[in-house]
Amino acid sequence: MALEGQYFSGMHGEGVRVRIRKVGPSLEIAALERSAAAPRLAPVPIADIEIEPPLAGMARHLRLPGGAVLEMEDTPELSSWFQHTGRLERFANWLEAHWPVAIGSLIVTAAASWGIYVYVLPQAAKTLAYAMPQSWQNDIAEGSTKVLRQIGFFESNIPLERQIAIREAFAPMVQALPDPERYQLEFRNAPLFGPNAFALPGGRMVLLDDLVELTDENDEIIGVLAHELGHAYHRHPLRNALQSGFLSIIVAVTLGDASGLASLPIVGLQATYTRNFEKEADVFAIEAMQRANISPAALARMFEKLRDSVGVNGDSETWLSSHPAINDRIRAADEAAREDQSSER
Amino acid sequence: MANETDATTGAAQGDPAPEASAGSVDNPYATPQLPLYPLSFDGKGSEYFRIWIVNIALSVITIGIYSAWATVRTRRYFYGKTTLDGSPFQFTAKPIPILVGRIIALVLFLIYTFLLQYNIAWGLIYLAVVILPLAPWMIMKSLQFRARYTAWRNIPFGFTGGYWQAVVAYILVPLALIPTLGIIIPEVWKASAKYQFGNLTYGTQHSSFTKKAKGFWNTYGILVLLTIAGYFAVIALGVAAYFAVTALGIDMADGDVEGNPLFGLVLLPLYVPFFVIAFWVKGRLFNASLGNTKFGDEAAPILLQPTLPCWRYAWVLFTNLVLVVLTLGIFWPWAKVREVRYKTNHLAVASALPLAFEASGDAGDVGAAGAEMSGDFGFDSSLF
Repeated sequence: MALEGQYFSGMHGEGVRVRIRKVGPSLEIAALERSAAAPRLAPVPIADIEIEPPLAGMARHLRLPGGAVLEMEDTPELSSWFQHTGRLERFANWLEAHWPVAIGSLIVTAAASWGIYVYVLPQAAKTLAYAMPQSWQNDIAEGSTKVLRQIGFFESNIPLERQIAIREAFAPMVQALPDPERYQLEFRNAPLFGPNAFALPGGRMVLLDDLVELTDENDEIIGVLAHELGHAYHRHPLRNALQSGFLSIIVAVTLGDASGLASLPIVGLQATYTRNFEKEADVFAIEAMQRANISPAALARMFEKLRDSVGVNGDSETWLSSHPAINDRIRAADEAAREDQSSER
Repeated sequence: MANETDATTGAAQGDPAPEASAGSVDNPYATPQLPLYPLSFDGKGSEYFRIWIVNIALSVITIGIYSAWATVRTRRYFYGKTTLDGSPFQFTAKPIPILVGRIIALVLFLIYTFLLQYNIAWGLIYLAVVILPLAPWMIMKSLQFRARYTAWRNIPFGFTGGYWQAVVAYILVPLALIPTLGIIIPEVWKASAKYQFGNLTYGTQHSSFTKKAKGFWNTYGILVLLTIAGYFAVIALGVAAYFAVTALGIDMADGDVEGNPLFGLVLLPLYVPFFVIAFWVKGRLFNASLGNTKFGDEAAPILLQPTLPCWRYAWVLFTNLVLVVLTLGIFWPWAKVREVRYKTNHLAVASALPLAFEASGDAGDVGAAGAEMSGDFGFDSSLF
C-alpha cells in the first residue's frame, strides 16, 4: 500500500508531491509531479529514517539521511512502518488522546502536588537543615547579621543591668536544651523594624529595643524569647528558606511560561508554611515556660501589648498572613496558663 | 493500492491563492500591491488541555525530568498548528539537550541562591561577575536556539545577532534609563525588537529592522496619557469603593481597612484598567516589532504584516486572566490557544515572489542552555 506526502529537499523550500511505498525494509519515494526539485532517490532503509513522534494527529515529518524531509499525514499505516522507534513518546501521545487519562492526570497532579507541598518539601527541608554542619549555619547567620548592620541595626540602648537580668532569666531555658551553646541572644536597636524579635539560621536570636521597651515585666520578654528559641530549636529559619526556595523552583519548572500568574498563590503557599512554624514555636514557648515555672499568661500579655502597639486586627488571618491571628495565639497561651492553675489546686 | 482521494498535506501547497495586501487604515505597517500570505492557527483548547495536563502530571511524577519532553511537545503542537501558505512550521529541537540546558541553568541558579543565603556580598559579586556578563550571552543563545530549531518547509531559521549587540540592547540602552529618568523606555523596546527581529535569517534571506521604526514612541505617548487617565479613574473608583464599604455598614474608623476581606474585593476592579493597558501595550509592541521587520531587498521585499487590533487583543488577554484565576488555572490551555490564535490570525507575510526560498547551506547545533536560562527576557513578540 502506498501513501502520499510532500518532499522537501532542504536545499530549496519548494514541496514536491510524492508517493511513498514500503518495499521490504525500505521506502520507495516517487515524484507525482514534474518538477526541477523532484527527487530521484534510491530506496531509503526505514532504519535510517528519523520520524517525528506522533502528536495530536498532526502531519509527521520524516527526516531522510542527507537532510531531506517527507511531510506525511499521521495514519495507522505510517505508524505501522515505525513500530520500532519512539516508544516513550508514542505512549505520551496515547495518554494525550484520551479524556479519562486527562482527568486522571488532573487528579494525579493535584494529589502529587498536595503530597509534595505538605509532606515531601517540608521533610526534605528538615532533613537538609539537620544535616547542614553548624559552621555553615553560623556563616549564614554571620552574613545576615552583616547585612542587618548595614540596613539599620544599631547597638542596643537597653541599660546593661536590664540586659543582664533578661539574659539570666532566659539562660535556664536554653541550658535545658541539648547543645545549649548553639543558642545566642543579641540585643539590637532597629527602629525601622518596630517591636520585634527574630531567629536567624544557626541558633542566633535578635531582640529589638522597641519590644523590650513595651514592658517592664521580664517574664513577658522571656515569653517572646521562648517563642524565638522554639524557632531556633526547630531550625525554622533555615527550613523556611529551603522549603520556600524549593517551592518557587518547582512551580517555575512545572508551569513554565505561566509561572508569572502563580506569584500570588506562591506567596500564599509559603505563608501556610510560616504559619505552621509560628504555631510550632508557640507550642514550644508554652511548654518551655511551664518547665521554667513561668506562667504562659506572660506570653499572652506580651502578645496583647504587641497587638495594641502595632494596631493590627487581632482576628485577622488570611491565606496570605505570615502569622496566625494574634488573638488565637493569646487564647492558646491563656488556656495553657489556666490549665496550670487548675492542676496546681 | 494508493488511495488517491486521500487529502494529503501535499494538496494544500500553493493554496489558498494569496490575497492582495490591503494597506488600509487599521494596518499602518501594510505596503500596498504585494500579495499577502496570511498565517493561520487551528489549535484547539480541548486538545492542548490534554497535552498540557499529561505534561504536568508526567513532569510532577518524574520530579521535573519529563519537563524537557513536555516543552518539546508543547512547542511542536503550537508550531505544527501554525501554517503559512499551506505548510506548517516545525519545531525540531530534541528533549535531551533541553534537559541538559535546564540542569545547567538550575545549578547556576542554586549556586546563586546558596551564595545569597551564605553571604549576601558573595551573592551580589557572583551576580555582577558571572550573571550580568552572562545575561546577554544567554539571550543571544536563546534566540539562536529558537531560530535554529524553527523550520518551515525543511529550511531552518537562523539568528546572527552578536554578543556585543546584545550588550548594547539589553544592558547599555536600559542603563540610559537612569540619567533620562525612564523617558527613553521606547528606545529600550526598540533596541530589544531590533536585536530580536533584525538578525533573523531564513535560507539565504536576512532580516532587517526599519531604521526609524514606527510605533514605539507613539505607543509610549498613549501609554502615558492612559496611565494618567487610569489614575484618575482609580481615584474616582476608590471614592466610590469607600462609599460602597460604608454603605455596607462596615466601620472604617477602627483603622482596620486592609484587614477586611470585603474591602479587598471592592478594591479589585481598580486594577482592571492597568491590566488592560499593559495588555494593550503588549499588542502594540507585537505590531511594532513584527511590522518593522522585513526580509529580502528593495527589488523583492518580504514583509511581515501584523494587524493585531490592540484593544480587542487586550480584552482577550484580560478575559483569559480572569478565567484562569476563576478556574484555578484549569482554563490556562484554552487561554493560551485563544491568545496564539488571535495573534497568528492577525499576521501575514507580504511578498512579491512566491514563498519558495533557497537554503543557505550552513547548519550547526546550538546548545539549549542559553535558551533555558534566559527564559522570558523583556517582552516577547514571538507567536508562541
